[in-house]
Amino acid sequence: MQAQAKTDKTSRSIIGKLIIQYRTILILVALMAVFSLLKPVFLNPINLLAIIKNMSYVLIAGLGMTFIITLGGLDLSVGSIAAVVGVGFAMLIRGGFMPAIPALLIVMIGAMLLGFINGFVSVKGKIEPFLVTLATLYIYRGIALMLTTGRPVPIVIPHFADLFGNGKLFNLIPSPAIISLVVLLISWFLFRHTKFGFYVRSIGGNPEAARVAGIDISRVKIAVYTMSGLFACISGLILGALMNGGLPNVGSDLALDSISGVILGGTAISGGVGSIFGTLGGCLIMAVLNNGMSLMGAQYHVQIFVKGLVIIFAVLMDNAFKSRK
Amino acid sequence: MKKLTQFAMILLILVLILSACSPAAEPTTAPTAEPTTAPTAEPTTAPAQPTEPATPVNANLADFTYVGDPNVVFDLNGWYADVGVDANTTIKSAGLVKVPDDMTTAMPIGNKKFTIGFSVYYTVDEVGSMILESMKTAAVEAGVELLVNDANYDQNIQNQAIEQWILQGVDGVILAPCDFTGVKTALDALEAANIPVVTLNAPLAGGTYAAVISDTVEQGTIAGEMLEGALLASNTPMKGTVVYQTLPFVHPNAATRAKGFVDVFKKYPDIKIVELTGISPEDHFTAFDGALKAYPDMIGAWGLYSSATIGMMNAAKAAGSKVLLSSVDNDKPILEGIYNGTIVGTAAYSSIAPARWAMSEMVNLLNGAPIPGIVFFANMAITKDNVEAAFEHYYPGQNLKDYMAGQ
Repeated sequence: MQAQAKTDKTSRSIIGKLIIQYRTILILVALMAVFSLLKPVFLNPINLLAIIKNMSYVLIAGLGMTFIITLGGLDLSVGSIAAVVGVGFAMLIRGGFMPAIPALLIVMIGAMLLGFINGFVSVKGKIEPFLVTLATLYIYRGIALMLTTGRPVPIVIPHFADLFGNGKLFNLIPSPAIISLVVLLISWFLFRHTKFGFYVRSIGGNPEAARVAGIDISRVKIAVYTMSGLFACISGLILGALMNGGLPNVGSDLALDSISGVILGGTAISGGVGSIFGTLGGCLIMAVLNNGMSLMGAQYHVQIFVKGLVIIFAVLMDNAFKSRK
Repeated sequence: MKKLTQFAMILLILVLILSACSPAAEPTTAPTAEPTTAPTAEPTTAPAQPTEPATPVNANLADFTYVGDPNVVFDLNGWYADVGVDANTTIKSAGLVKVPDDMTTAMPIGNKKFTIGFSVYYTVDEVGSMILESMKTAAVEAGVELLVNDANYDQNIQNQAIEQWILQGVDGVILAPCDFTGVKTALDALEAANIPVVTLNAPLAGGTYAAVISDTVEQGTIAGEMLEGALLASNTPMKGTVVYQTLPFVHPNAATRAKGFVDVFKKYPDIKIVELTGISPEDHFTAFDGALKAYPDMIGAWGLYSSATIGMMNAAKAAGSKVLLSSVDNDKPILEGIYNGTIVGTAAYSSIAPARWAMSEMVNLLNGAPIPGIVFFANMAITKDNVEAAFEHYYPGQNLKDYMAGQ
């Protein structure tokens, strides 16, 4: 009798462990099941691909954010950087002022510079990254508005929208999905298989130990923020293509959406623990929620309420996972 | 390794789901109903002449007051160009009409049970909520099934809803654009899918069969004339600074309103017009508080939209300023301000009428009747004299005194 009870308890414990370990996938599958039952068109392959397309720019910003949060930081300025990139690119190519490729290179370097400023000011000024990027959120948005005096700037070159926005490979796979897949794989490689990724995790886990181990913390931090600037640039280009122009007010929710995706994916807000594929899962959850609730015709009030509940639920499961560990 | 397994599982699930799906269950292009009138005729030419069978008559024709040639497409791009806004919009139907807030004709009934998608830019304020609720009511009257999307000012969410509706094979879409340029993606997708669209507010890019809009230049003119009238009535010398507060980015409705307002004061060379910007009421509070100090010669002010006016009104109150203030929009606090004498007046428009007229346009179009390309719904000048009646007009079943009493 006692042995039976012990076996039951062990089974329950294993199931509980599995549930918590694979929480991101389970939440995702549960959401997909619910939405597909309520609205069968949810499972239409075109809709599923649309989910991936609409998630792409959040995921890319989220991948940069994964490095930053794992490092123990935060970047609130990614949406503003994306806006600067969109309007900057549109203005550079407007009226044939510059061919597209050099314009792309310039906005990429520019975005990296903006990211570099975030990291440099935070490290050298010994200021919390939250505060620095809160300030640059306003500064960079101000730049986007000043550059355009608030006007949208159309992106008129052919193929740009196809390449970054509404184009499809084999007339099926949206180009933003392919771009985000490439960025995902590069991020994963950097995060898991390079010294750089190891340093990021080490600094986030125990900065003092990392310093004693000889890691140049300042350099790594600045590099991570610079990289986040580059990722925000790619998000900005996708947004520009999807919006058919450089819009100075675009991406205002990008930082919070990407942070939500990262946290949902199991990356610890306290740093040290991060997961690239977890961020993919987290962003997918957000995108599935957006898509499913849109299909349901849910009003914004309901949407944000449900999103908040899912985030709380995921974080509670995350805590349970850590306490079991 | 564990994360790789997680990723592999996600992919596996997605692949299984994809493979389990019936191939292209819904048509991706052809809508279930042809927009039978589909005015494919060249813009600026007359709509197609009725052949056989006879073209149905627009059920709301008696409510239309045509402005200009009914056979000519209104030059919306030129209208925007006058205020410095770049637009490249194609309106597919000819004619511009003015319509009353309340239809005297009946809402048209669909020839069949049409399915219509309606995406609203937001519902987080009373105006957005009223538009949505009015659209739902209009859909019931028209006998159509309404699918709704609340995009909350996110054009990507709106675009996504359009993609979903195309998959679902809706008969038509009524779209209140979140972003006047970014909406082109959605409009192009609808055009490719041969699904007719009517917009609430006019886009700056892409094509639409018709746009239901308010005459925003006229709103600026009304607000300007009310301020001018109040200044003259109070024997204020027509010199000094007039401040107006708007959005920090170019919004076509804001630009057109500003033109109407500024034009009113062009005849006073000693009046300097100063533009300040903000988004939220608190932004505008701060900006106007600063302006009251920065421009001691300020003789009047204008809030270009409700958040601006509400912020400015409260800043003036806090500073003990008696500067004359006019407005656009008819949010309840603004009407209360007019009643209390804080605001001299506002240029108002209905939140119910645009929804009803957009539904009328769409159902007439789907029924095969000709529709006007631009529908201007009415503006109203509200002052202390008519504020209570206006309140009851714009908020049916409610009254200002109850509102002010907190009921």
